[in-house]
Amino acid sequence: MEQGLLPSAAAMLAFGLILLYGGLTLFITIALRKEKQKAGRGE
Amino acid sequence: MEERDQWRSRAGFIFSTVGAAVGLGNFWRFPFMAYENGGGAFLLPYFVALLTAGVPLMILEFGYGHKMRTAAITAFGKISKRWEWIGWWQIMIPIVVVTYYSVIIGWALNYLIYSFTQAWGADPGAFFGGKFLGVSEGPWDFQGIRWHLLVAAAIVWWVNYYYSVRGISKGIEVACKWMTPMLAVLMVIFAIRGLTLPGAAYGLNVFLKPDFSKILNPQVWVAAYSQVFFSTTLAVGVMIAYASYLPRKSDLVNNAFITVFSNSSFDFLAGLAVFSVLGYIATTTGVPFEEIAVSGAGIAFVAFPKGISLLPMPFWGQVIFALMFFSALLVAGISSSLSMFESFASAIIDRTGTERKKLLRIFALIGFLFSSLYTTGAGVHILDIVDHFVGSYGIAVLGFLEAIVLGWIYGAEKVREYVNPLSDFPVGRWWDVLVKYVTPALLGYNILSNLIGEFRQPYGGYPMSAILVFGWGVALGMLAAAIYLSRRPGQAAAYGETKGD
Repeated sequence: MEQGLLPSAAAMLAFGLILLYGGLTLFITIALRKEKQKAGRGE
Repeated sequence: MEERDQWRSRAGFIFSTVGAAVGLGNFWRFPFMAYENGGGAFLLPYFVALLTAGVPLMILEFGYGHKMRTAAITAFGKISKRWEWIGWWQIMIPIVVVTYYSVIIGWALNYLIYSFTQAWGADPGAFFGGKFLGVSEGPWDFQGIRWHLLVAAAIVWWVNYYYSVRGISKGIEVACKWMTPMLAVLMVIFAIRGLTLPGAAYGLNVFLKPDFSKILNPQVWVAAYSQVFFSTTLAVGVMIAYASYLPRKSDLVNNAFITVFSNSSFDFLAGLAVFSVLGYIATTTGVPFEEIAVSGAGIAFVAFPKGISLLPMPFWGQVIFALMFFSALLVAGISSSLSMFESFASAIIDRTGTERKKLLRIFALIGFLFSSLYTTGAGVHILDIVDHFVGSYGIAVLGFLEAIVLGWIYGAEKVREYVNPLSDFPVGRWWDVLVKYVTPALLGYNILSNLIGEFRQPYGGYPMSAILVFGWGVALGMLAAAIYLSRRPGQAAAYGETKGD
């Protein structure tokens, strides 16, 4: 029963990680940048 | 009337919306949805559903709640008094759900204490259904109250009351600012521990190996849309209420993206943790995967305890791992149940002007009495029926109605024009199309396909009398109550200020 990660499963793992965590990182980065800009303008 | 509270920070708002969305279902619903619907290939329809239904509806609820600055009942009533019943119906869902959700959180609380001795023993399945729940023969065979379940449920109700009575900024925001990050840290620890176990790769192969032929099956797409929809706490008045407490100059679009992507990230992480542990159990015990992989609460209260007892580490290490796991369940559950309290509290306060403390005290007492029904031997049967009918029909129908009323009657364009100048980045006309056409079409298909299945075979093989009372009775009773309550005169001030447009 013991086996390594199949290439197709590894590909879907990478797909999920990149899309979900990549997307989340992107949106959080945008939010942080905008908040920094607002703070710089004294809002 | 109390002065309207406000979120103190953007982070506090996001932690609270994520805390509301991430709940017990993330641990035991998504991983099995994927497993049963094409494995890794399920990620494709899931991601499409995320972008075409989850995010657009979240923007709609954030935008509309923020614009109206009021919770669900009066938010819908501001379009026209004739739509107020949708708001009432929306808050009925969390009212009903929290009565059994608090009991399930109570199970996690009991298991947190059992972790010290691993009281579930060598056969966690027999312990869970027997000594712990005392599951009876059927939904009419009550067999009295299980006191350890009732006491735990009482504690959960008290914790919810404690934070909710303090309002948004001093209660929910304070709680979620530590609960949500703590949950994220615990989930990462789990996933790392799970992935480093022998046999984890086997579990991950079962979870992620893609079967692309399933993508052509419409039912897989329905499953993906319903997973995204139910998991993000949409159409139950929570997000409209939360957004109504945001300061005037607040981002809405990006906050919706962050909330939905965070929830899905929890989904995926839970899938990795759960399946790697299941792979470990299958490899260690030689039991076929299909026999271990039971969806629903069994994964948390049967499979995981089994896996914890088998972990290749000293007893105290297993205890720490068990404490972390049940703490995560507890925190995920409480941050979600807090949002259910708030959906109800905000909506009633906005509609009637009732004092928060008085309202929540009555709600907690009556709600707890209803919870006691789920602490009997028949509790699990009743819970299963109520959850199926409220989940399968109530939420889907409400999502459909919300998209129609806000998208067509109020106007998706008006919400888009409102959110764009406030947000970190704007949404285009494509968003109107998703809200007005795609979401109602998919939810309509979902409702119809569920209804057809329902009439072919009574749910779960339960007696028709139980299905009628706890299933259709609860579902239709909620609708009848919503229509009746919407016809009662409301507080004039509730509709006095920000009338529709």
